[in-house]
Amino acid sequence: MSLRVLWLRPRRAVEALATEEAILRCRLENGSPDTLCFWQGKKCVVVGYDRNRDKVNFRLCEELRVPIYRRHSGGGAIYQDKGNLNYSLVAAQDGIALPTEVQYARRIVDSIVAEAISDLGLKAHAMDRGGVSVDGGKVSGSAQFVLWGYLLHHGVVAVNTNLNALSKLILTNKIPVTTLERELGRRIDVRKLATLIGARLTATFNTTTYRGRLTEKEKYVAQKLLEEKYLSHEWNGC
Amino acid sequence: MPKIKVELFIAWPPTSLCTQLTEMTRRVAAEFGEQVEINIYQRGQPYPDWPTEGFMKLRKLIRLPAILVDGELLAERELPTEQKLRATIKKKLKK
Repeated sequence: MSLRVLWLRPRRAVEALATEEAILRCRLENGSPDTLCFWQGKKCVVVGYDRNRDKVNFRLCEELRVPIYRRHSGGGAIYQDKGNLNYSLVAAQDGIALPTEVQYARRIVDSIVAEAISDLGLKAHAMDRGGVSVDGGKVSGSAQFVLWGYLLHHGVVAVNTNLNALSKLILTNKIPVTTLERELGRRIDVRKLATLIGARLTATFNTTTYRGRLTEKEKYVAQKLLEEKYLSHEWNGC
Repeated sequence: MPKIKVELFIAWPPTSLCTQLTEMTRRVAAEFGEQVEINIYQRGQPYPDWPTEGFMKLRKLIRLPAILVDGELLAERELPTEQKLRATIKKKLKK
């Protein structure tokens, strides 16, 4: 297995959500390769498939014009801004050395992210309930979705997230959230972190990587999903 | 009056495999006439009918797609064969 690595440049985070699903669908139907994506997005709140709307300060989101999007996977609400590094892995479940049980697979990928963060000089651990912590503070969360045996595992790493905005927009964070830069006390190059995650991932799965681009089909499906699903009233239901 | 309910849980919008599964289910169900009712739920869309208790219990755990017969999971993540679906429906109707 060789893993295609992509850097997405979404104008809005919702475009990246649509693109992730497009890659998953094209992996399933059009022979797209297993893919590892990275992206950063403008400020927004992303809720899980089950919405968890009670955890979001809607009034403040509206006042500050922070858009709220719904993703395809489950899990809690997250605050996104340029201080986050997002990653997503799309792969055939039987093609990679990940268990088919999503909670075990999630734990393995969280551990890989924890190792990459540890490479920066922090003591990071994959948490039992999902995500990665550093010194008791959550620095990364993740979620998964499986479609016809193809996995989308995506997660977010708080590199230099605006924690003040996060605490006001997301009402219930069971575990305190911190950022890598706060814990490390210095600036972090997100590209370097992405490279470390990629390196740990390829070492774990005994694979190679290559820099790639979105195919025309993936771009087309992403645009269609964006218009017909991710920006639709039907999907967002608000 | 339908005797049993076949429930499909598929992606929204459906993938081509989801469409194949829907067509296959409709084809098999048609062999049993009004004894079998099909409910199709698309993930993220309102349910068109009240799902079975079995589906409600499984809906968060299920990996797409999934097919349930009378509230019992027949297959998930893969296409069941027509024979398997037909045999399961027959078995349920005999009860």
